This record gives sequence, C-alpha cells and structure tokens, in this order.
Amino acid sequence: MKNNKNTEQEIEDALNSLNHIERAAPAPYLLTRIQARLNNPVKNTWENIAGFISRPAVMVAGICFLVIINISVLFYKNYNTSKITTERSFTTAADEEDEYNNLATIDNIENQ
Amino acid sequence: MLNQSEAELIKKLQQGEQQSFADIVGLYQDMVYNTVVSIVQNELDAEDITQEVFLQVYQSIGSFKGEAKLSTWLYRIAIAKALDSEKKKKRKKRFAFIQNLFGEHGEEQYNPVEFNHPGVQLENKENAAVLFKALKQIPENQRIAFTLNKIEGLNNQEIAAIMNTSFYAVESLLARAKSSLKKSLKNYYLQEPNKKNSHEK
Repeated sequence: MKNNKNTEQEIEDALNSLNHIERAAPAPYLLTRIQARLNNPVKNTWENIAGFISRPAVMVAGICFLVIINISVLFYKNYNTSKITTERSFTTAADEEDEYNNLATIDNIENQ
Repeated sequence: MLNQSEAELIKKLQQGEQQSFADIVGLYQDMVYNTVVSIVQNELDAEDITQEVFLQVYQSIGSFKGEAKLSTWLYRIAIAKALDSEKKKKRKKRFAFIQNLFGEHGEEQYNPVEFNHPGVQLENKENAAVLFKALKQIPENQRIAFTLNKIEGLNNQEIAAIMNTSFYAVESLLARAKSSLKKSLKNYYLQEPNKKNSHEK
C-alpha cells in the first residue's frame, strides 16, 4: 500500500517536473554556421548512398532480388542438366538401335 | 494569419534581403532549437537539425504563401525534420546491429545516454530525465502534442494549427499522452527498486 502511494507520488512528480521549464538555446553563432552551410553546401555522396541502402525497403528488395536470382540460376541449371541427360539417353538408345540394325544386316548377308 | 512585422520580414526575405534572414534566425532560433531538442533528446543532433530548418526556410521562402503564421510554419518544419532524424537514427541503429553481428562494435555509439533538458530546473532534473525516457515510448502524435504543450507552452488552438488538426483532437491527444506516460512511468518505477536491489547484491 505504502509502495503504491510512493509510486503514485513519483509519477506525479515526474509529470510535474516540466513545470516552469525554460527554453533551451542553441550554441552561439548559429547564424554564422547557417551562412557557412549556405555558402558551402556539403554533399557527401557516400553518406547518401549508405543512407539509401540502409533503408528497410531497399534492404528487403535487395535480399528478394538476390533470392530470386539464386532460385532462377538453380532452376536454369537443373533444367539444362535434365535436358542434356534426356538428349544423351535418346542418343544412346538411337545408337543401340543402329548397332542392332547393322548386326541384323550383317547376319542377313551372312545367311544369304 | 501573419501580423504586419512578420509579413514585412517575409516579403523582404523573398526579395533576397539578407538582413531579414538574420532577423528571422535571431527571433526564432530558441523556439526551433527547444522544440527539436525536446523531440530528438540530443543536443548535438538538435544543433544540426536547427541549422537545417533555417536552411530550408531560406531555400523555400518563395513558396511560403502566408496562410499560416511564420512560427506555425517553422514549428512544422522543425517537427518534420526532428522526426525524420529520429527515423534515420533508427535505421543507423539497425545497420549497427548488423555490423555487430559481424564483430564490429557499432551498437554502442548509437545508444544515447540519459537526456537532461538544459531548461529544466535543477531540483527537477532527475524526474525530468525519467519523463523524457517515458516520452520516447509513447505514440508520435501524442508525444508531439505533449511536447508543444508542456515544453513550448502552447495552447490547444496553437497546437491544432501546427498539427493540422482540430482543437478537440488535440485535447484528446493530450489526455491520451498523459495516460500513456502514467503507464510507462508506473512500469519504470515498479521495476526500479528491483534493479537497485540486484545492483546492491
């Protein structure tokens, strides 16, 4: 109970701590520094690029792009491998058939 | 609406008179800095943002039509820049976390220490630091309304003009801000004795 009362009091004290607050003022010569920036605008390209890249949307898009490229390369490779295997198996079957036909022809000649 | 001296200052600045820019900076620098430092809770960042606010004023004074007071326009720019800087800091923090994963200790430099507003009276410093910590945890629009009301001392009508909302919406925002802050402060004070005990052990 006592703890509760203390906490309530602390909360009230914190909320009232900004009563009679005074305005904070910037360091002297603000105008001079603004004028210096007006005359020499600083353009840090790397900072701009880093800022752009570290944006969540750009980061997510970049990761998605990499994943898509990886998947497509994987599919393309698999497709090519299966195509070559099929071609090879077709070629082998055709070769076997040719060989069989040749043998059959030789047999026929010998029989004649 | 603009008063006569404000209208004159703006007209002169639009005509390219440098002295009027110096007058505007002189008149409003404390107002802008105080608002920004209360939002970003870092004096170095606030200095930088204050400069950016006046740079924008200088560059876009041509598009200022005088539909709102100059101070209202300045408050809007200052709040937008301060919130933007906070978002950038959060992004940097995320980036620092990634750096940390690869063994670089980037996290520490983005972790601010407790903020002490320079205008708070000495006997209230400790409580105000706790309140500023709690302010960071409440929704953005509640925080802005509370800051403008408590720290800049603006009334609901003025806050409504700055936030582009109604008088009643500001009233509701302030009530919700107070209740959110109470919740956040309660959590803090209920956890604080446990922290103290664990440190003593």
